[in-house]
Amino acid sequence: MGWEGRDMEGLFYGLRAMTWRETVMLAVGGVLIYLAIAKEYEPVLLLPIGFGAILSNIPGSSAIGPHGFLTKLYDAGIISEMFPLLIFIGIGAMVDFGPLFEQPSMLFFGAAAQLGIFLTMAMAVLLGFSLREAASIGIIGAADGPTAIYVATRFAPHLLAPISVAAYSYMSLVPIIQPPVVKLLTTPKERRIRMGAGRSKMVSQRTRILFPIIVTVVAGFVAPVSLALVGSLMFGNLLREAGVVDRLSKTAQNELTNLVTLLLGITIGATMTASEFLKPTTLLIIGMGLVAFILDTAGGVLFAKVLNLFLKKKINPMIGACGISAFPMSARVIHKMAQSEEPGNFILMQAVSANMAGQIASIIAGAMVLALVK
Amino acid sequence: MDEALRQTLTITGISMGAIFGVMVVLYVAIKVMVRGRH
Repeated sequence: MGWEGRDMEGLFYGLRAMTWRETVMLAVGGVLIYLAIAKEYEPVLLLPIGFGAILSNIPGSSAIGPHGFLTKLYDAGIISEMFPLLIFIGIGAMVDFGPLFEQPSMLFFGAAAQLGIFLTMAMAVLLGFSLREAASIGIIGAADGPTAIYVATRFAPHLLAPISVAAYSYMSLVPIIQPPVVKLLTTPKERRIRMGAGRSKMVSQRTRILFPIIVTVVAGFVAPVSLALVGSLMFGNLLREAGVVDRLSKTAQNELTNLVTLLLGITIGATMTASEFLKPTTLLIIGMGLVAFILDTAGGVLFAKVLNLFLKKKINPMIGACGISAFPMSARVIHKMAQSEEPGNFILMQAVSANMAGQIASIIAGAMVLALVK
Repeated sequence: MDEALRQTLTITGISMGAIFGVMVVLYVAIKVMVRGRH
């Protein structure tokens, strides 16, 4: 073979080796990019994921494989569990738990709305998934991307791609998923229940500083395995509330989160290779992720309805739906529903509080899964 | 009952109990911390 033959061999390999499977995956990547740009569905994640899928599905891609930079990022950031934890530091620095201090009873809705995780896990077991796989699928219902990635990396790294895509896609589809479930489970009279504006309490800086420390210690005592997740979130929050490290807090909120999100997205996208993604189980996982979101919503709403059987001052049961972790999307959706049901019905404060409680509860749920599933 | 399903239901019970337990502790902690302000 002459010079031309040897060196031209690598050229057009990507085109020559394409099969229908890679073609489908390129289309999937394109759809994710389209959803990110045209529909603005979680664009900061879906755009890098979509492009990562394209990069990894062109045959012979130098982006993946033993020397591929995306494979190295996968080992360094996903397998090591660093990316989700770093993102949690950033999220913690962004979250203001103030509304929760004003409505602490909303904490319980955060707890109730985690039920979907475990019901979906049981469903996955019944469908033949192993316990570890089922736990990873159920945790999509945490409505919390980093937690889903963290658990899936530990228990079922081979399912990481569909689990991540499902988790982030459904988080952006909360405005479509939650309203019909809430309407199905509540009467118009219940949806019109007013909850009052609530007293505006001056929360001291000492309380704001103590809270992340208390959450970390309590969660650590209950399940030490939760400390990486809870501790990262609460460390970020402590940076925010301490008031003396604004520079670090701003870095965590902006540069750190943006950089890690960028790397996380494209790395997750690179796991969507045709051989791993184009399987019937992918569709099953994406379907069960939807079920998890629906059951979480139902769990929160039904919990509120049960409470109403005993309470003199009734709760608007729609608040229960905000117990999922998709913050602040869920709170906005439910507040909007209350407004459209009866203009002037302001339940935003309670909705935001329940939504924040969902953030804390979803991490504890992830930690419990890590602690109990062997 | 299938062993894996039995395990899942046990995990569900323990986890939901633990999550509510943590929330009760946080509820009490917030109430105590915020009460001092009024």
